[in-house]
Amino acid sequence: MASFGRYIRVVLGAWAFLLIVLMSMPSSAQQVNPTASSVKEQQLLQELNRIQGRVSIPDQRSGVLEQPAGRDWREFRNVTLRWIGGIAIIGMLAVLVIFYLSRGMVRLESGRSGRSIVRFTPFERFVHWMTATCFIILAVSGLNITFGRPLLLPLIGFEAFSEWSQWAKYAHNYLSFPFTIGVVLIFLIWIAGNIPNKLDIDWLKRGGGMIGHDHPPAYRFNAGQKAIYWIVVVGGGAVAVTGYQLMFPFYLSGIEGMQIAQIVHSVVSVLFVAAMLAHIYIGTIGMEGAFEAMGSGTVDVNWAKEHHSLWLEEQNARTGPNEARSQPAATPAE
Amino acid sequence: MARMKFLCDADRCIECNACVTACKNEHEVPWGINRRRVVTINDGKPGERSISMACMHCTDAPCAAVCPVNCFYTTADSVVLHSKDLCIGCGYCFYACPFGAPQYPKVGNFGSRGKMDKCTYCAGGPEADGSKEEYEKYGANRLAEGKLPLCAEMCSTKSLLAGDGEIIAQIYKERVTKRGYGSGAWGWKTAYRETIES
Amino acid sequence: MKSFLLACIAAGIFAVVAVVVLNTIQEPVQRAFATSGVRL
Repeated sequence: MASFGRYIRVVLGAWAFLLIVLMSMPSSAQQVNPTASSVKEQQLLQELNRIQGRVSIPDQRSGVLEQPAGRDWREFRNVTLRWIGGIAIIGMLAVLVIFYLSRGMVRLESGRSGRSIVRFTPFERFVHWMTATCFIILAVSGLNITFGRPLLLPLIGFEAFSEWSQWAKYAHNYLSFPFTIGVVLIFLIWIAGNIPNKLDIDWLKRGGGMIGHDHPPAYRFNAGQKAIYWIVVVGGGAVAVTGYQLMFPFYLSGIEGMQIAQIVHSVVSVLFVAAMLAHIYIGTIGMEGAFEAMGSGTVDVNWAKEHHSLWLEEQNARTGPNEARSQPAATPAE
Repeated sequence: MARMKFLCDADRCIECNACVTACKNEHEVPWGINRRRVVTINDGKPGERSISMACMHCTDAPCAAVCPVNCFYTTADSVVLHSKDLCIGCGYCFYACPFGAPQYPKVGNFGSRGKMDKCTYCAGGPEADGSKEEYEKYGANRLAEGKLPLCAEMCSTKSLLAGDGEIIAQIYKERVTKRGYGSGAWGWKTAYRETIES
Repeated sequence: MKSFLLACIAAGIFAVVAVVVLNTIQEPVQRAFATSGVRL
């Protein structure tokens, strides 16, 4: 009997043990959760908007696992930039066309005197034209990157457009060097005449001779020209710095720096192009006698009198009014 | 047609880099170019996770959207491919890509970085399927042979899954239900604008 | 006109110098990402 009682106890004990084990099993399985402390994708993205880790390959850029910011950059490049560029450039062209149709070429009101005065030295013209030719090629090849795909690609097809873009890209890269040199030289050779002063406010108030028929006095550079100068120096500087950052990708910064560099480069560039359209307009069909300044280097004395009266006085004071050569070139008597 | 996707089960990835090696070998990818890589987050700390990442073949792919010469195209299987004949090596796709997938043969210089290279989902390029030219430019075309990407096929822990999005999502979901945990399909929200509920 | 042509020539020369300099800087990834350790 005693052995039967022991048998019962053992069986009951075994059942109880089994019951405890069975009951505890599901709960113990739930207690072991290997993801409890693991990194979570959405949490990491919320913290930094980027997920970065360690890679065993030498290219450390590839340590960035995810950067959804690329989506914002895409939005900028495909939508925002096209709007900014389109409005700036088309808008400027429209303004110029309307201005030309309503005002026409700004004539020399006193006619030509037949005598001319040196306005830009050969070196100044050399610097101007080096920068200008580079700028035009850079502008066209740069606009091609932003607007080529919707505008030019459908016209010439994939192969031709790719080939052209490839060459445009090489030109954009390599001509950036003479352009940058030109911007630096422009900054140095014309800084003296381009410091804004009180006269500029008066000049602007009187419409600068473009609006109305007034001829406010100006030294070598009037407020409009000073504006162009600073646009070239500041805009050109910004475009050059960001451009070189783009040209040497990831030397200076990570992915976010490259995106910002591209944004700054492109926005400044399209505004720069718009400003230069106005500059080209005034320098060519916008104003009689203006092109000669950069063309032959000399301007008519009456042009100088109308647009840069104080500069003409300065020049005359320095060299004497008879120095101004008359056309056709009569050399002063020795 | 199927909607091909990649899914990396981070709770299974052991950072063995076999997928990387398999990819390099299958397509004879040169040194320095990584179509696939394994990134370890919080390395050496509790809760570290490794994720094998390549081109995710996004829905409405950002690379294709920003390409200045429109060299990308999407196949019937929703695989994002590109033409190396059209690519001008500008590097814009790398700025837009959320996953750092595009690779270039040269490091510097916007103008001459060479033709971009990236994961093709083992689906080659625009050339004729299985042709010599296609192999030289883009590597093997396993998809045309009815096979899935090699990286996923030979993953030793079956962490990396490739195939039709709905099927691999189902496999992952069953896995999560069975084992009771899962840290989600990494990159899916960014690439496909959807996640797998688990 | 003379300074314009000179400017174009100078721009060309600077650009050619840039080509040479940039191409020497340019590094293929095989070299840039080479290590003495494991390579993947």
